[in-house]
Amino acid sequence: MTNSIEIQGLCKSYGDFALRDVSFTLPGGAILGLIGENGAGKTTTIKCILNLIRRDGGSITLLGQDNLRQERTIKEDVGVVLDECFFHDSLRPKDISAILAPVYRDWDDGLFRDYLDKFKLPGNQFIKEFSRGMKMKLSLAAALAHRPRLLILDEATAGLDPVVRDEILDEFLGFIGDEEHSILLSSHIITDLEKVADYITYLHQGQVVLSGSKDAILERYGKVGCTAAQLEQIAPGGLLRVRKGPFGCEGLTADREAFRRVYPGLTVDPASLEDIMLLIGKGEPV
Amino acid sequence: MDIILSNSSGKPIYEQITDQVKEQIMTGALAAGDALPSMRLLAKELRISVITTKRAYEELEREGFLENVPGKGCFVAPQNRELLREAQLRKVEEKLSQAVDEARKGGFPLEELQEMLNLLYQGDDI
Amino acid sequence: MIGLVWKDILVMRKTLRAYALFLAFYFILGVMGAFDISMVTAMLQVILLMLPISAFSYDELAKWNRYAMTFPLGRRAVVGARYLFCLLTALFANACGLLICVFTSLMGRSQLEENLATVLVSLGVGLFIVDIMLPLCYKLGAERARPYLYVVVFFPIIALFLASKLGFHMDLSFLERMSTTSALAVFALVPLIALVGAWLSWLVSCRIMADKEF
Repeated sequence: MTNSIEIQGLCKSYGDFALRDVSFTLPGGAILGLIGENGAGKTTTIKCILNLIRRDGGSITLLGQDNLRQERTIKEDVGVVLDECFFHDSLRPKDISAILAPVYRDWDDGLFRDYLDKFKLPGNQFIKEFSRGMKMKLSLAAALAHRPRLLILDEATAGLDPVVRDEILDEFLGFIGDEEHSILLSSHIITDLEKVADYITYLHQGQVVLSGSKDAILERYGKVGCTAAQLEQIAPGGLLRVRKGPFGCEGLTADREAFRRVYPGLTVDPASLEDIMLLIGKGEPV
Repeated sequence: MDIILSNSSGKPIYEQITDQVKEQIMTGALAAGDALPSMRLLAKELRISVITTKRAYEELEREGFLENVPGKGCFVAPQNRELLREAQLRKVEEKLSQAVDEARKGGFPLEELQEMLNLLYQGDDI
Repeated sequence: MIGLVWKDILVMRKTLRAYALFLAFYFILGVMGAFDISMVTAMLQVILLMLPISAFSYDELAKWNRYAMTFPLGRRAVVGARYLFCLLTALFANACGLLICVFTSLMGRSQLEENLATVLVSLGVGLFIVDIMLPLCYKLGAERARPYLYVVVFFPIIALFLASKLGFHMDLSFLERMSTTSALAVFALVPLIALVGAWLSWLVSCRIMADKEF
């Protein structure tokens, strides 16, 4: 099984923001959720993967091939849905067929029309009249219709109602039907990722703060509640982050079982991805 | 095959799956030779990560409940029902003796222990 | 690449249809003698020149380029598709012009050879303007490149006007001494040079696009 995405030491800097030494791997047949606050570098990372922007350093391998040297070959097998629908208002779904069929070697018109039916998108209506949810579904249909092996989605579900999101997530789960197909999904809707992701990479201010299997993360990380006095008693290394409030402190530990054994008196709960994000994002390092 | 998962039970998801599959095998709901859904299909239907279902199936295979036939899928392994039952009974006995020890240490009478056992057993079924 | 040419056509469907109607309108008027053939070809050029900028405008509105860069085509092909679109529209427009010429000369209204020459030159001039405008559009974007269109169109006209006022005349009498076919061949050079210019212009546009971030 080849890894679908391998990123090593990715660096890219803009004036006041930089991606520094970003590394993570998406194995075949899995979904990787890229999380992070707005401005953390998710979109920048995805743009580097797709070579929409030039990276400053590091290596990116997609489907076993270098993303610069074999860019055109790779892109036949990569389906992309970005945060906006890029089709012109004056086009109709059936026009998109005409446009994309010569672009992709494996474009399957029948499959595209099946998706249009499944997503209930009228082939003859102008995109100008589509709602946001419909535009997203159209972009997804177009991305899936050329039978890609890797789907890359950047905030594709933002701004969609829960019912549409659920439909789309279902589609994703069906997509990774074997080890040849994977998805990189960047989102700040954590609940979506908690549902479908196999792996999570958390970007914070341009760096990877957390990366691993979602189950392992949710099984191991813990949220600690304690008073300021108790906080003093905790040895360095016990907590990764702490948020001090007027009525107590909240801390993040990377191994809640071990923490419970060492500090049996303190409240330790399982931490959700959102808890982890809030504690890393707004807490101070210890 | 019915699998009901709970996010709040505190038990890791893969363990909930292995426990429920084992239970169904032991009660006979799943018979030897029955085909189990593929890891990916199960993951999709339960809306959980395929890594979880893989782990559950691997553990079930390790403990002899499952047979993975390459190219065909996973099937319930033939079980010696009596042996299984005995093994499980031994586990219950072990845990109960631990509970009895703790109860004695705390000086709790038998009745209290029995009451607690009742509550806990009923609690699980609800 | 064909897909992207199709995209330009489909996106500007309405505009193209409107222009086709204009063309038909002027054709009829031209046939009825209301307009000189050169008027019609001038109209054709005006129509033609608006299209590249419109195409860029529509793409910018839809933020299409970012999406197009995810295709397995490469930046050169994406740029090439735009050039192909402009070339095709130029050829189509001037082919219509040619038809009009043939028609009017069959009706005895004017000389076929003269009109052919006009069509060739207008094709060349149109292509030259496209050669200049496309890299500008890639570099500056549709809106900021638009004023340059007026400069590019009017500058030679004004220059010629001033030149003639100042007494410079191009000595084209040598053409009258050549046979018709050779004279036409000379005129045919104009669009041919413009085509070579198109290739150079494409290289420039590719270089501009290569460094762009999407």
